[in-house]
Amino acid sequence: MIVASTLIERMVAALDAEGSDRYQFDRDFKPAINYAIEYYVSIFNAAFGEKKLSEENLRELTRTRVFQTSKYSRIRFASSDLGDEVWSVLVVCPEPVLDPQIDPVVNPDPTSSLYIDGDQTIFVRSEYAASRLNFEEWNENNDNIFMPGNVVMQNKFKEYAYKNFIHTKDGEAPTEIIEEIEIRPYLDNQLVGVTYLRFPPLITQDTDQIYYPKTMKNLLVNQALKFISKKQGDGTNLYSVEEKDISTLVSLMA
Amino acid sequence: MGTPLRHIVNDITVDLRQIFDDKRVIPSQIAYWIILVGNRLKSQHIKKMSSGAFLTTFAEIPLEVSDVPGDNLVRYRNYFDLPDCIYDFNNDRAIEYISYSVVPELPNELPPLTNVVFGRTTPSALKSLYANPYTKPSVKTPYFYRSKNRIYVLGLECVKVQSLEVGLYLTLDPVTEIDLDADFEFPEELLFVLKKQVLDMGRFALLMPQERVNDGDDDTNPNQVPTNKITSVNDPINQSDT
Repeated sequence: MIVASTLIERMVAALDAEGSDRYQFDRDFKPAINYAIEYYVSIFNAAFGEKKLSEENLRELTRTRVFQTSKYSRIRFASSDLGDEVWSVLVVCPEPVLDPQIDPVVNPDPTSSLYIDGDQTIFVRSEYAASRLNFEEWNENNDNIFMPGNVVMQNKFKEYAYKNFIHTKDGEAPTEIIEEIEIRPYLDNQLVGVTYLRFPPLITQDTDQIYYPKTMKNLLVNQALKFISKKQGDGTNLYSVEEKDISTLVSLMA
Repeated sequence: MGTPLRHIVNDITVDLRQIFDDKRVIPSQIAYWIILVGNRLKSQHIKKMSSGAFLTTFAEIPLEVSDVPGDNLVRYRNYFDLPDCIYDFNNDRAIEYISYSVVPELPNELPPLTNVVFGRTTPSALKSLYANPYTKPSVKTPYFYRSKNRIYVLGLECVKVQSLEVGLYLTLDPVTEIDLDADFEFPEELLFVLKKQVLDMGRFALLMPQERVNDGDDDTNPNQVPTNKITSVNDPINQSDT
């Protein structure tokens, strides 16, 4: 994790604005740093898609939680339950070993999944990792014993799969982001461990933490400076310098 | 203890991933490939070797008779259904023997299979068998013939026989039923050949020439079409004892 103030110190130095009121936190640094945080979400998405980067690099944003599936074998990620906004699902682990090993609880609304709070149990391990399928594969693989997510193989060749993200229930909280995955072979009201990436929170104060690895400090500084250079539009070479630094660092990461 | 199927599947999975790191072949498919090749090799091994290593004995298979005709069922004829899938060897040799299933009354009494062993015949050969009093199916010289998964038994029409003892050479279980952690019923000395042939099959299946990717371009390169080594008809794999 990185404290926002450390980035600001470096940005002030790079802008040669020490002791100056030229740049202010609310007006300049906060939007610039938040811009950089969101920018790298996009970069990571592209890198994940091309399998150039492992999600494990973002361990500060990784969370493992236990859910109980709905009767439709679905899990809903509601930010109001989790306290996080889910960025991406890393792994879905059916039939988990928990501590303590609890049984599924009575679900008052079986059409919805349940979030099992960490006070009740924690995820330990699982022998299974569900594969991610797209919507076409999801339908086509149903009876194909050689593809994950088929419903035929129920012996030791069982291969779980999940389909993300779907949203099948509207009108609950229009402003809330609800993401839902579906698991197959079907798990009717069963416990499942899920490891996901939470969307990195944006900063509101200079004492806030930025949930990226420390190795990204320079990348964030460069990207935030690039944002400031756009605002300045003063013909300095700040934009081109930062652009070059960023492309070098991103290519090194990939 | 033999090698469990899980070890063979995992071994081949690891090997294939070293060649095609982005491809994911799930264990059921590799097990299916293993069963395909394994049945071929195992059947050759059984035919070649006089060994009981893969003989499965079913001690008490009930003998049945139906008074209504049905699909592949002749009424009033004794029959039993094969308890499992067997190899289709020449002259039904995957049925090693059929005998009466009688529990010896004394500990040292000869086992029933040494008394009377059923002879194998075909429906077309039955006429000549019945024509000769020395070969006519009877309690002492019973016969059997196979019709799909059903074994008809002749010569027991006048006696009440509850069950039979049968020795069979079974195929490997299908992938939907095989136990991943049980001993893989396969000659250990042929595991090397099995692995090599499954890897060859896997490599061939996983070759993905660029032309097969629908990117809108016609960039056919004949060198990218998947090919496999042409195997001679004299290759040992294509030779059989019959």
